[in-house]
Amino acid sequence: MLLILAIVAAVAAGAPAEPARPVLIGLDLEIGHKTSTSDDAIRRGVLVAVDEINRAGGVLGGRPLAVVERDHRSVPARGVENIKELAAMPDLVAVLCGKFSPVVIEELPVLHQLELPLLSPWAASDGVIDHGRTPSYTFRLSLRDSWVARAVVRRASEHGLRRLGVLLPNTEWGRSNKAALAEATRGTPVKVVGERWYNWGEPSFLGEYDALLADGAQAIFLVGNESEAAILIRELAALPPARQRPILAHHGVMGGDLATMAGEDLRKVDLSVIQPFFFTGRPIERHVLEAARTLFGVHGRRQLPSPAGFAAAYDLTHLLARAVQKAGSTQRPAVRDALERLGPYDGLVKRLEHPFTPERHEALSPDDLHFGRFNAAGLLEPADR
Amino acid sequence: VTVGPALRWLEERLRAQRAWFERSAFRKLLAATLGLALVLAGVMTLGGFLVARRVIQQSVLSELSARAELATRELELTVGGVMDSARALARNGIVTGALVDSQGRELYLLPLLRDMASVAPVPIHLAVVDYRGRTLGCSLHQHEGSFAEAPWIPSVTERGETRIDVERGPDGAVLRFAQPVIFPGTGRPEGALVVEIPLGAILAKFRDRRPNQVLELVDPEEPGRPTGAATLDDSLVVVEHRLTLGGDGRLRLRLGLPHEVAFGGLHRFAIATLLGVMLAVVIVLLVGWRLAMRLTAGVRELSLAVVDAAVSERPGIRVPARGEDEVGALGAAFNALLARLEAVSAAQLAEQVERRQGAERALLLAREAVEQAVEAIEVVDSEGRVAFSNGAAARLRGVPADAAVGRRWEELFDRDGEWWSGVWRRLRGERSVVLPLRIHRDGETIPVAVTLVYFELDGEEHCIATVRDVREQLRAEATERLASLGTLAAGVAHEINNPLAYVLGNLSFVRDSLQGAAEGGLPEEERRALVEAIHGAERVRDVVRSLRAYSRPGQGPPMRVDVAAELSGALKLVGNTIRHHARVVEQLEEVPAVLARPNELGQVFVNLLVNAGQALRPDSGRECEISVRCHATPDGRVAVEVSDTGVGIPLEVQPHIFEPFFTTKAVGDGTGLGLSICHGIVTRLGGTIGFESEPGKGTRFTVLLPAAGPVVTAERSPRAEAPRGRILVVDDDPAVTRALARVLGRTAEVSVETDPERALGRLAQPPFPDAILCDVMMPGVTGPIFLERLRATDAALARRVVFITGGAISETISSAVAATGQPCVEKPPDPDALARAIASVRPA
Repeated sequence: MLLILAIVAAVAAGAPAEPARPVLIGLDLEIGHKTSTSDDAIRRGVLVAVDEINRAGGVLGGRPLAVVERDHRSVPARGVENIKELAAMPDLVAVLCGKFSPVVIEELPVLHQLELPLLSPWAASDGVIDHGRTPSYTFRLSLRDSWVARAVVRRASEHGLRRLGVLLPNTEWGRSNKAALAEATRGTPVKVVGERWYNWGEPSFLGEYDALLADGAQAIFLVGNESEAAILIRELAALPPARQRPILAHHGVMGGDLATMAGEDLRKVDLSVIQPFFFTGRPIERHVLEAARTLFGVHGRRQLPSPAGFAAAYDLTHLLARAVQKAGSTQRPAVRDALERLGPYDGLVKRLEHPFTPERHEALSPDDLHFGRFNAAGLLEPADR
Repeated sequence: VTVGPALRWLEERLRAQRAWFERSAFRKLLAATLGLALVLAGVMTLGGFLVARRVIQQSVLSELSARAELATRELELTVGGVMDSARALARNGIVTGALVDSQGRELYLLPLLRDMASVAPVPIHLAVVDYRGRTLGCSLHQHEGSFAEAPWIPSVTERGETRIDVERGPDGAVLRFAQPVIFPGTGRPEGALVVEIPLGAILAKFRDRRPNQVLELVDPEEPGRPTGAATLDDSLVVVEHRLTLGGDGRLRLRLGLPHEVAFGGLHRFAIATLLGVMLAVVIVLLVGWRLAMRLTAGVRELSLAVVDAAVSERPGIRVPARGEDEVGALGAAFNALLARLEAVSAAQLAEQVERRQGAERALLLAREAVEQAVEAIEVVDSEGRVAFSNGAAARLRGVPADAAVGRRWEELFDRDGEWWSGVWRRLRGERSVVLPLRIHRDGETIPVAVTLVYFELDGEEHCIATVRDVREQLRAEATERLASLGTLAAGVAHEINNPLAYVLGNLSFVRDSLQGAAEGGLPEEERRALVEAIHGAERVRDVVRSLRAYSRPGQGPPMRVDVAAELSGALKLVGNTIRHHARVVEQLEEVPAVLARPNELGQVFVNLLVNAGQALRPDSGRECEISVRCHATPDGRVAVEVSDTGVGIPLEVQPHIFEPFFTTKAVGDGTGLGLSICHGIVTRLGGTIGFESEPGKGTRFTVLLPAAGPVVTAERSPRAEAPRGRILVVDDDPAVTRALARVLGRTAEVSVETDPERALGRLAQPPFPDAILCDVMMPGVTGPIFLERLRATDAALARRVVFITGGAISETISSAVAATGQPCVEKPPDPDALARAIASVRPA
């Protein structure tokens, strides 16, 4: 339906009478994930951008952009298959992934084999970019685990929380964070006093939390998604204040509507979430929110629970359109090359002078990371403002 | 070559056995009992074996079923435990994480799977696959298999079904359990935990426990896909048990045991039972055999002893009676019987023997009597054929008895078959028939009385023919007739003699009175009439005497007889009959006397004269003449010839005329006894009788009699002197007494008495008579009784009695009179005889 919407949008934009073949953008998202809002945010960001681009005449001389979506349900195996399917589409120029790094990690071989550029608006694992393949077909406009670790250590240090307890998912993402945290704490007074591993679907983290407290953790670094965060918040909220510790949460917890999932308990715990993007009221922000309202009936930020994903997807779509335009074709290696050679882009997340270079496929930098806290309205606001 | 003798030997043995059996009741009983026992033992053994086999089979099958159930349960428990673990494992975070964590697979999943596999009770294979079956991790270091794109994968990873399949792997049946792995992030199955459980290995554990049993898993719906590790074939006893693994219950555990293992015990039991029964049967046979031999030996010994006792004439013999069994008891019983038998008296035995011998003798006698019977006895069948003939019959027929059998019976009587048919019909109706018949043999005709009695023997009709020669019977009948005639004649004579006595006496008295009173004074005519009256009376007297003589021949001792006088008497007797139609010529010469009983010769002569008269045929035109002649022959015999001019005797008849009952006369004219009687009398007197006859001209009979010896005291006494003295006449007939009184009264003093009692009374007192004339036949007191009573009172007087009789009525009285020794004068008394009698009794 979204595809149809995109096409309709393209037609309505005054496309030539003989409609040009659309240039396809693949979405490989965790649509089937129960609590995930990241996929909605990314899709909306892409569609708002496509809408803007198509309204502006499309790419490659009038070819509209169209979106092809596949659901990997956060399961890498399905993602791999999705990539194969999407790569088989001749006019598909690139794929935007979802928030799950393990999916992307497993897609890496086939992506490079099929020379399909993958743009990550969220998946934060270092391995998504640092996989050693050249030419690399993965690009990211989001934070990165190692940057998160440093930001967490820095913030802990700033708040005098030198003893960190870590809750890690027993996945490649968790292990990536562990390694990053170990690197980040090196040479700092902040020490990881305990780390507890969990598996997806754990119904409770109280045991791990208590264990970390027993280890002497002054703060808890939660590497997880909205499900884990919501469970932990509810469990912490039930604890006496003396047993409550500040939670420093990874960007993943914003993959769902945490404010809804955690409810009132969200305000009872000291939760800080690292984010590469906050709505701050800039004109472009109002513009895209309006577009989202027009396109999706989204009223206000509260209905965009994963704003960073939305913003990153919006920016990456524009960058991709520019790269296609720049490449002059839908040839994916050419597009990939073009992505490395894009000029300055004043995006929703930030203004990028050189979004990507052959040596750097990270559009952002560690300095772009900030902690945010939920306000009473359930909106994440920059913590330090 | 060797079969023949062997078969013969076997046959002989069998025959010997059969004879041996048939000779012994005990052995038959034993054979029957043993046979029955054998059959019963066989039936019971078979039945017991069948029941035991059924029970054991059921027991074995039940045991097998229990084993199969146990194995099934153990298998299910084992597999179920593994599957339970797998279900838990599928929810394990490492497993779910493995769906999204490729790095974690190496780090955690593989060790986990391997550890899980290693602690499983059976060597299982654990694998985690993604939603398309591609392996994410597995417990095997080198897993060759892959479930990628397997057809069953979508049912697990798309529809979240738990899948249980049994596949045939290279090492046997493998149960594959696929549990969907639910990814927490989506709450949906995103992969599967697959456990492969080698059922063959589990079954092998059972097999290791019980090496002789065979286990396999089968899928009845897919018979071509046996899942077991072993092959069940017909040599096994098989039970099945449903396997509930996976819920559809399709799989079955099939447990088999080799027949030898399952039923080896049964077979050994059967063989042992059969051997035991056979051994028992052999023992029973041997024991029974031995027992029978002992029993039969005892019985045979007893039998032989009993036979010895039976045939032995030695008294006191006993049979052996050993032991207290039935044989011993039987021997004792026999001994008791022997003792009892010996106790029976020899006399009884002898009597029995004698009785039996008597019976046999009687039988022989009966046979001999029949054989020797005077009467011919023959048995004749319905066809008239002689079936039996005794000696008399043979003699009658003139052929041997054997030759008579089979001949026609009626031929004996010169009759034909038609006659026999009539006789047979009558016999069948009346059952007994008497026939007067004649037999003609050698020219002789024999009158016979034939009695036929009908009888049936074994359904065949016969009759007994008794042929009796009735010649003697007829002769006796004729004699009896003559005797009756004699008695009649005697009675008549007695009745005539009394009146004749006083008729003749009175006439004589009148003549003598007239002669004495007036010699010649009586006119000639009256004198002649008186003389003729006296002659007529004397003639009556002579006829009566001849009649008496004829009717009582041969009585008394032989005496000298005047043949001529006898001839004259005969002529007087029959003269009346013959003189009517024949001229009688008498030529009687004086001949010597002959010795004969009174009247015998008269009978002969009367017969000859009667025959001669009957032979005459007055209408023949020839002169009828009977010539009677007597004369002495030169050789000193007396010849009497009676000849006639009659028809003569036919030549064919001539040889038979002296045979009894042979007659040519019509019935009623003669008895046929005449000539035969004559022949008999003459022959008895030492004489002969013969005849010459020429048919149509006449016949002459000649009797030759030997003369008596010279006369010694045959002097005829001189004429007696007239009686004198007192004479008492006692006679119940007053006419007789008066006549006697007149005749005797001339010279004697005569008193008469008609009542003997009064006479005895008169004689009791004087004057005593010099002679007493006493009638023999008086009412109340006969002459001899009168004499007896008189002797009782006066013996001397009794010697003066002279009996006078008109003829003895009975032999008894005649004998009584003769026994008295007193003289007896017949009425009408001859005056000389009376005078001599009176003179003989008068006292001197």
